[in-house]
Amino acid sequence: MLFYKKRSESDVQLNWIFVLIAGAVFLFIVFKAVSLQRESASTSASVGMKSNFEAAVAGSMTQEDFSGEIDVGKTGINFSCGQAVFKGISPADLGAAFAPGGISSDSGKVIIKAAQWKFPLKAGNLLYLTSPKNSYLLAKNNAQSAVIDEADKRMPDSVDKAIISADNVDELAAEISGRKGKDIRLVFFGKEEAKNHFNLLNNASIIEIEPKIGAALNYGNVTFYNKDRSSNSTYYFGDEMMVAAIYSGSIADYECSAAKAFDRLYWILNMSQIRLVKMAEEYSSSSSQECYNLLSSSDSNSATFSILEFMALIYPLTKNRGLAGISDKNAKKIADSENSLDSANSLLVRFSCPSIY
Amino acid sequence: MPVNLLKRDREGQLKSLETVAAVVFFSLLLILGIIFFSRFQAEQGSQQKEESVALDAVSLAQIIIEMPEIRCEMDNCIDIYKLEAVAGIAKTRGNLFYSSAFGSYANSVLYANITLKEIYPEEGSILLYNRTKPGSKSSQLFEFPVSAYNATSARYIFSMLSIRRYI
Repeated sequence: MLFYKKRSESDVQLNWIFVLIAGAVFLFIVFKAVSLQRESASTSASVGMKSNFEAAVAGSMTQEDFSGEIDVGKTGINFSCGQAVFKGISPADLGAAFAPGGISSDSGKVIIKAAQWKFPLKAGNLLYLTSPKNSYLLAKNNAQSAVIDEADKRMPDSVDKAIISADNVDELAAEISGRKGKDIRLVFFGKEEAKNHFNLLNNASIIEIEPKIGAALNYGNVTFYNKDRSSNSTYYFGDEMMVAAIYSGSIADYECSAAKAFDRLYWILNMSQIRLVKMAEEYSSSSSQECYNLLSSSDSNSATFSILEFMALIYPLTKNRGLAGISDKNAKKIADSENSLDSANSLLVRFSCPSIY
Repeated sequence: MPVNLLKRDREGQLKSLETVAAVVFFSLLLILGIIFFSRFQAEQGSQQKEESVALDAVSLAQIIIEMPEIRCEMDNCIDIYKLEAVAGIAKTRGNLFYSSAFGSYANSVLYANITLKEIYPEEGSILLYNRTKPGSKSSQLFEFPVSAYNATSARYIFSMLSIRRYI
């Protein structure tokens, strides 16, 4: 009798232990599921954003003047060397994309615009990214008004931008303080135009664009100033790349993405040269000797020769930091080669031969 | 052992058997439910996959037609000499999107056969890119009408851009 009583008591105790363990396991599973759900929601938001950015890249590859906005919600986003960096997943590679270093959560939107890069052949699109939280102030300079207008024209209206007078330092400071909470990029045009405004470096990032005077192509130096007033200079070639420098967060990011753009240009030139050789072969057996001479590599005025010359100059720029490494002399040669390629193309058109572009 | 105690013991055994049977029954129901749901999900997934392959092929065709490497400079056509040059570079670089400027496209492997089929007035075909997917058992073919241009004969050729995607 006593034995059965003891057994039933121990049964009851075991039941309670079982209930406690089962309850603990149940609670653990519930909390784990909730935390997994939260994690997966954050990852799926990142995945959604990543696919939106990749869709933008595809859009920019099919439309010459692609533009749009991407909602980045409250997470914010960082950009480095043409890559959009997300939380918890691998970054989205946007290719030759130029953006400020980070786009914070306040604005919640990223403004995207593609610009067709012609140098002088069509070499794909450059992708510009910014946000409503970023402001661009272009400092007026009468000697550079054409270049400033070109930069202004190429930035979309949805971007907060203004052409302001740089003569009056107080006016400039007022413009900056009026944009409280914004990431301000102050752009000066012309040699040493920025040097009187280093006091503004605490409230804005400063770059200086110095177009080379007398050149047919808009090319020149672009200088990025650091908070400690030190600076780093590099080059830009063409209006599209000048605007790319304005959008870029740092010289490193600008040069990294520019190297990607030059890499594609180099291979497009290579393919154009192969195309010209194949077409010259077709003409070698035909009566059109003029087209053969203009296309084939035997003639120093030929299109093939011009392309090969241009390719040799472009090649160092396909490497990262390649732009900063070129000399003034080579930069001028690159700008002039663009013109000589243009001349070779015009000659082909004049003689009714197939053109380079 | 007294009879009433034996009876209580048997009742207890029956009760625990009942509990075990209920647990087994509900487990079976749960397993059946999971099997049914996963089959339904897999069916939906394969349908979505087919749709995404089709969308992907359309987007790929658009990208190829718009590539400055291939597209005629002025008109809306494919330059045959450019296409042949790109085919050569794509073969040596192992990727149709050969440059880092293509972003994520340059980093992903494209399993496809892309051919330009010339139909009228000239007939022929030019292979732009071919990479079969290892272990792939099926593929889908998509064809898009395009105008191709021969720059030396200054002639337009009605053609089909044929894209076979390996699944």
